[in-house]
Amino acid sequence: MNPVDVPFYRRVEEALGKTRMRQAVRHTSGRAMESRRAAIAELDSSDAVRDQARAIRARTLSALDQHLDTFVTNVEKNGGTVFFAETGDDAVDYIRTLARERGVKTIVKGKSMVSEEIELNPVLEADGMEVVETDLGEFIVQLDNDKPSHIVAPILHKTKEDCARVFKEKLGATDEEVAGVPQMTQLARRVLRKAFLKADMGISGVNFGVAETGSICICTNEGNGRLSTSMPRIHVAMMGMERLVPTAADLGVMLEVLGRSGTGQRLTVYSNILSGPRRPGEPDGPEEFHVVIVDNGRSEVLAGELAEILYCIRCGACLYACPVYQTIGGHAYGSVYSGPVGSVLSPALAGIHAFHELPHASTLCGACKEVCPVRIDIPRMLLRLRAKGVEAGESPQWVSLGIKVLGWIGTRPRLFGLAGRVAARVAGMAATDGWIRELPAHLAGWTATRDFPAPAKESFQERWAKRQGRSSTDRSRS
Amino acid sequence: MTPANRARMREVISRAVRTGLFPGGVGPHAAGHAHDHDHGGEPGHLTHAGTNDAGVDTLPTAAIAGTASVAPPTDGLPRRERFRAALDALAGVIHEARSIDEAADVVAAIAARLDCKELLAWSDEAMDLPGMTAALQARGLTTVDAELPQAEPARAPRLAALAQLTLGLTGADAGLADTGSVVVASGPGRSRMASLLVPVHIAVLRVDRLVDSISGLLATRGDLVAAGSNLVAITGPSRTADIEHTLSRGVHGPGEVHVILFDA
Repeated sequence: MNPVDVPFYRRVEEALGKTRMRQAVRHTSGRAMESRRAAIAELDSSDAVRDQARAIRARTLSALDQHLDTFVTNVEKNGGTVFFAETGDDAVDYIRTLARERGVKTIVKGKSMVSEEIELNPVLEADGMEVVETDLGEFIVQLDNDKPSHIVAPILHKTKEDCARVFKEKLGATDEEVAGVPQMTQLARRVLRKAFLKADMGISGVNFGVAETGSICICTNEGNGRLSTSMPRIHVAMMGMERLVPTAADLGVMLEVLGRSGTGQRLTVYSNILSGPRRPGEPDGPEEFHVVIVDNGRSEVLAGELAEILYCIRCGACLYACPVYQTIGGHAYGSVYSGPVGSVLSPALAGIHAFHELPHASTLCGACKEVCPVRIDIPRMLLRLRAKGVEAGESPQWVSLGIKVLGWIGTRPRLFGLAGRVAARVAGMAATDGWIRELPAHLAGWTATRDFPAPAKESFQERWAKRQGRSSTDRSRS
Repeated sequence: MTPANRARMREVISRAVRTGLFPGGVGPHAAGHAHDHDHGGEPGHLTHAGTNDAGVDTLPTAAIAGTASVAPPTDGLPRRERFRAALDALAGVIHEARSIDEAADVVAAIAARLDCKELLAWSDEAMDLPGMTAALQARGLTTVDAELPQAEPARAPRLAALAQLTLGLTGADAGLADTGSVVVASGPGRSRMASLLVPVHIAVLRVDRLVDSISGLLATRGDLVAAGSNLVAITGPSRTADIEHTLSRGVHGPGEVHVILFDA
C-alpha cells in the first residue's frame, strides 16, 4: 500500500475543483444514508445488536491465534489449501506461482479490497494473464483506468453519464446500450458472462471466515461473487487475517448487521458460504480451493492500541456519514481505504510516515462512531494517530516551533500578558467592524474563505486585574 | 499449508494478541460463554489444545453470539406472510402448490411464457419432490444433465450449452421469513448453476422449512454450513446499485426469482 506523492492539501484542492464528482458523491451518499437509516430502524434494539456484533469482533481478535488455527484445520479438512502471507508480496507470489503452474490464462475477480491493497492485478497482467474485474463498479473502474473511491461502492464518484462515456469509449457501446442504468447493466452482463465462461481461475475477497466450519462467506448483490467462485476450475480467496468469526452462529449476527449497515438491505442478495472445493457427487464447483490469509501489517496493528480498527467489517457506513468524505470524495485520501476507517487503517497498516496527513482529515464530529455497526471508536484512534505523527516528526516545523514559543511565553505570566496586549493591538488595527477580513502572508489561507473575529480590546489579564482592584476596594469599604 | 508456514502464522499472531487492546469484548451480551479468553494474561495462557496436530478440531468454539434475538420483530405475523411480504418487496414472485402436479403446473406456466422447453434442475431426491421430473416431462419439459465435466475437452462445450438455458429449478433447504430468502446447499443432484447461471430461477420451498432469520438459522442449523461445498442464502433477484445508487436487476445472477411455497 503506497501513498501518492502529491501532498494531501493539494489532493483536496484538486478534489474540491471537481464539481461533478462532488455532486455525485453527495447525491449518492445521501441516498445510501437514507436507505441505511430505514433498515437499521427495523431492528428492535439496534444498539444491543451492535454491542453483540462488537463483542464478537473483540473476543475473536483477542484469541485470533487460536481461531485462525482452527480455521486452517477445518479448511484443510474440507479439502482446501491455506497459505499465510506475511506481506503483500508473499500473497502476490503465491497466487502468481499457482496461476503459472496451472497454466491459467483468464482470471475473473470478485470484489476484493485486499487485492487492491496488495496491488495484485498488475503483477498477473505482467505475466500475460487476462484479469477481469466482474463487480459492475470495479469493471467500470478497470475499463477507465480509474481507482475505486469507496470500499463498498467503488464508483460513487462517477455519474451515470461518466459510466456511459466509459462504455462507449472502451467497449464501443452504442447510444442505445448506454441509454440508462438497466441498459448498461445488461451490457456488462453480456460482456462479463463471456469472461466467466472461459476463466480458469476465480479470485475473490472474503467478508467472514468461519473457524468452526472452515468456511468463507462472501456477500454480494450482483452474483459475480458466486460466479467467480463456482465456475472456474480454481478458486482463490484472499482474506485479511482479522476477518474471522468463531462459529456459524456468530456469522449469523454479523450478517444481520452487515447488509443493513452497508447498503440498507436486510441481507445482501447472495450470502454465499463456501466450504472447500467441489465434493464427490456434486455436479459443479471448483476443483481447487485456496485461502490466502493476508497479514501485510495487520499483526502489528493487532499488537497495539489501534487493534480496534481491525473490528471493521467493511460496510462503508462511516464513509457515507463523514462530512469530510462527502466533501472531498474517496480519491483525495490517496489510499485504498478512504474515509474515517481509512484514515486510521492506512497509517496503521503502512506506517504513520506514509499517511500522516489522513488522521487530520476529520472534524472529530463522531458521526463515524455513531453509525459504525461494531461501534469502533474512530475519533479516539484519529487523535492517537495525530499524536503519533507529531512524535514521529511529521508535523510541519512552524507548528512545533510555534507551540514551543507559545509554551515558553505561556509559562512566564508577565511576558504572556505583554504578548497578549501587543497581539490585541496589532490585530485590532487589522480589523474593520470587529472582523479581520484578510491576514497577511502564511496566514492568508485562513481568511481566504472566512473572516477572523477581532480579539477583545482588553485582554483577560487586564480585565481580571481591574476586577480584582474593584473588588478589593469594595471589601475595604465594607 | 506447510508446517513451517503454519508455525510462522501461530508465532506471529500469538505474539500480537498478547499485547493488543481489545475494547468491548466484555459486555452484557458477551457474558457467560464458554470460551473466556484473557488477553492480558501471562504468555503461557496461549498454549492451547487447539494447537495440536492438523486434522483434529479441538478449539472450544462456543458461539459468542449469545441468545439475544438480533432479528427484527415479527409483528405477530406468521412466517409465511412475512416471507411473502419480504420477497414481494424485492420483486420476487410467490406461487403456492399443494401437490407435485400443482408445482409442475407453475413451472410449466413460467416455461411457456419464456418459450423454453429445457431446464436446469435439481434431482427429485435433492428437491425432496418425488416424481417431479416425470411430472415436468408430462408437461413437455425436459431437464438437462447438470453434471459439469471436470476436464477438457468435455468441459467447455458442456458449459457453453448450459449457459444457453433460461430456466433453473431447485429445492430449498430453508426459507427465511424476515428477508424472503431461500437457502440452498450444494450436493449430489444439487447444481449450483441452476440458481446462478440462468436468467430465471424457480425454487420450491416446503413451508415447514421456513425459519425467522439468517441468524436464527445459523444458530440452530450450523450443520448446514459445511454440508456441501456451498451454502447460499438467495434474497431476491440479482441486483446492483453501483451506478448512482440506482437499482437495476439481473446483473450476473437471475433477474427473475420465483418461489413456490409447497404445502402438501
